[in-house]
Amino acid sequence: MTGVLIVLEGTDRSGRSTHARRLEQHLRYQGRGVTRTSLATSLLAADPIRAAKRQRRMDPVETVLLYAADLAERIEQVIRPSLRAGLVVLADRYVYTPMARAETRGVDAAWLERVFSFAPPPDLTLLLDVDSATAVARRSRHAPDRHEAGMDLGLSRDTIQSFRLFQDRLRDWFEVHTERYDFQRIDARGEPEAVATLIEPFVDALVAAR
Amino acid sequence: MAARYDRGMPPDPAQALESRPRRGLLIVAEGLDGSGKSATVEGIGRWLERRGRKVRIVAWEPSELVTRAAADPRSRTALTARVAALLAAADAQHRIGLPVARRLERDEVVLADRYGWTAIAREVARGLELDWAVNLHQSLPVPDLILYHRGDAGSAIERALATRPPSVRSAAVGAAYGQFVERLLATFEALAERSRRGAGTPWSSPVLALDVHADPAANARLARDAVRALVEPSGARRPA
Repeated sequence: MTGVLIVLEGTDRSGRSTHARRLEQHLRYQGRGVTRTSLATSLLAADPIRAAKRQRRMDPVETVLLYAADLAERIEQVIRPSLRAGLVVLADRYVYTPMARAETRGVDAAWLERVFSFAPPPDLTLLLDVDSATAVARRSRHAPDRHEAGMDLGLSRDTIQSFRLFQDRLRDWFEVHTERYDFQRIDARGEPEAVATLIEPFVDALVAAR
Repeated sequence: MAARYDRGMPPDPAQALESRPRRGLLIVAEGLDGSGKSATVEGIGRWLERRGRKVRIVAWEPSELVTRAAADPRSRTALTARVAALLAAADAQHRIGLPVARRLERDEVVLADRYGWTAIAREVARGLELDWAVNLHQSLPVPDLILYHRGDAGSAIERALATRPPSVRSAAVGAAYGQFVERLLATFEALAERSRRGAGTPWSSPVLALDVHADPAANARLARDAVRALVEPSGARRPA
């Protein structure tokens, strides 16, 4: 049995974490072993990432290299061993979010691709697509933090407005790169139950074929 | 030959100044341990200061993030070559890349005792791909001149272990350390070769190779001449 790497991508508040949890449950009901991993959870890079955010050090090159270190560790320690063991790996964000954030801040796209070339290509990348108005509405329960709002870019002094503009830029990046990275776009504006019915057929078809 | 420009002669000074209206100068010294990098950097620094330039010497220190991780038994297994390279590159961007860029914007001269080539050589010696390691450091400020101190591995190992007890020396030379230095040297040479071919190293900076076995005074003159070509307009040369 070979493992399967499924990535969930999308802008903030697109429902990635919710659907990663739901998919884990869905796959476990089918008897599949599942490993879930998400951004900035590595042993070595998570703390430096948090420290950089806390100190408001937002140099895009430094930040993206820390995220690359974070992913490299998780690929070596979690993702590859899980795939070798035949598990389904659900990655809540992968190379694409760090690349989108860095490129949006002016980092060269070709350089970013080469930095992240160590990462194995996913078997399926689900792009959960929501417009920024929906994301802002979902945000009403929690104010966006500086990082999510891209305040370092100086798009607006208003956090909500900055969040909206920044997420629009990220959404544009995902749209432009959909073909290149073979994103499977999912309209994620609906309720979680409805969105799950759009996601699960892609996952079931992939897993059944392995 | 004691030294040569690997990518042709030094750039025409007037042209060089024209192409750098915005900034100071970044001159970096590369090479194995004990190859004379620090002496070259200090000599150039004094020479430039006598000419009224504000000079800052920076050293390529080991990454704090990597050193801390290596010291922690829980972290050690996660600290693979790739993870260490990425953490070190992030750290270098914060501690070296950004401060150097700010100094260059203020028209200062920055002399680096080791720079990106050292990082690349260490990463390749630990098993990573040369092209990947070269790309990783491309975002560092571009040097105006790379002074490559070219030597042989045997001498470098001898120099590095000169102060160690004989038992340590014989064991180290015969084992991992010797192989590590050989791999570092192979990467330095590969980078010099890339420069000759006009391939990125990761920059297109001119490279001056200094033979570490040549007369130190002659090497110092060669290095100074190369720096002079960068800092003094054509026709305004002064005696050394």
